[in-house]
Amino acid sequence: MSLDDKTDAELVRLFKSGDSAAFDAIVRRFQDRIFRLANVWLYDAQYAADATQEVFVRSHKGLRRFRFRAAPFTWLYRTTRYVCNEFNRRRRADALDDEPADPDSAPERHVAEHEAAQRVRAFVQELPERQREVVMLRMFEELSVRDTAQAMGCREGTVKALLHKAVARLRLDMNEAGFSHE
Amino acid sequence: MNDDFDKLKRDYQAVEAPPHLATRVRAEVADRPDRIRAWIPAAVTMSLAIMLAIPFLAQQTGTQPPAQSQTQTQSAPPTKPSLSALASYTPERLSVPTPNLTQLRSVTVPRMPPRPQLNTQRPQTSLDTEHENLQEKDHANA
Repeated sequence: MSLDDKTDAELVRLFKSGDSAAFDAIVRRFQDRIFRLANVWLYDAQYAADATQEVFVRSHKGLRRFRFRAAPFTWLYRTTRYVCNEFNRRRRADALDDEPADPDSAPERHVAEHEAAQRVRAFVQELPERQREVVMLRMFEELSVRDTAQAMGCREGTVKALLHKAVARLRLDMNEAGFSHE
Repeated sequence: MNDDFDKLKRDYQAVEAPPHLATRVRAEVADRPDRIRAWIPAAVTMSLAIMLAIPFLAQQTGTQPPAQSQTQTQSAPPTKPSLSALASYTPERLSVPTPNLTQLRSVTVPRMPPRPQLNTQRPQTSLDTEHENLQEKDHANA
């Protein structure tokens, strides 16, 4: 049984017991999901790549103290939120000195920006922060209501209410923009 | 409308992390060694040693009380002090004599110098000077 066949919790257990290959497997398993979340929070693929890297570097220390009270992805998501907030704060501080540049037109971009990501961001950005969070976790990442509530640090009822509002608003925005299934 | 949401979800899930991210993470982890936390057990050991030493030191000082206190507590049992022993306790008188009030009263103070006498003449006013000036003018005119 290879590492890729193991569950998230089993991988974390292996890493805690000192298996460094398990950490590589954790990175491989979660890097796309963490990058996508960071991409929506930071509106910039380059920043998102840096933030994803920072999340995993911190996880290398933090996961050793993981106590399995929540799913490993929930823990990683909270770290991602924390890191993205730090990046946004730093960027705002830098923006006071420099003219804010359009992140989508950065010439030194190393990461190919997907047109799809831009479309998603265009809609999701319009949502209030908590609704955006619930859409990303519940709709896009397909977490359960319980895990979403745990990741967001709120009750399950709050998740349902936020999702209801977010879907109504997304419908409205998508109708206005003429977004339709190709 | 559900198709639209599915499309949006597919768009979201189509985004992938940049290649070699895992390699970057591995290199970064290797570059950042864990903080040296060796001082924590040392500090814990030191504080434990101090906490254990404090009662021992207190016991040592308690077994060697000063000679004066030994004489004072001769009537009382050494282990269990009682109120009756405290009542029979008479504090030693100080060797310094208490000050006498009569001595304080008899202290001679040097006489004050005589009070300066005020000039008996009437103080000069501006009216007087004006009068003098007029007299001088009359004299000059004359």
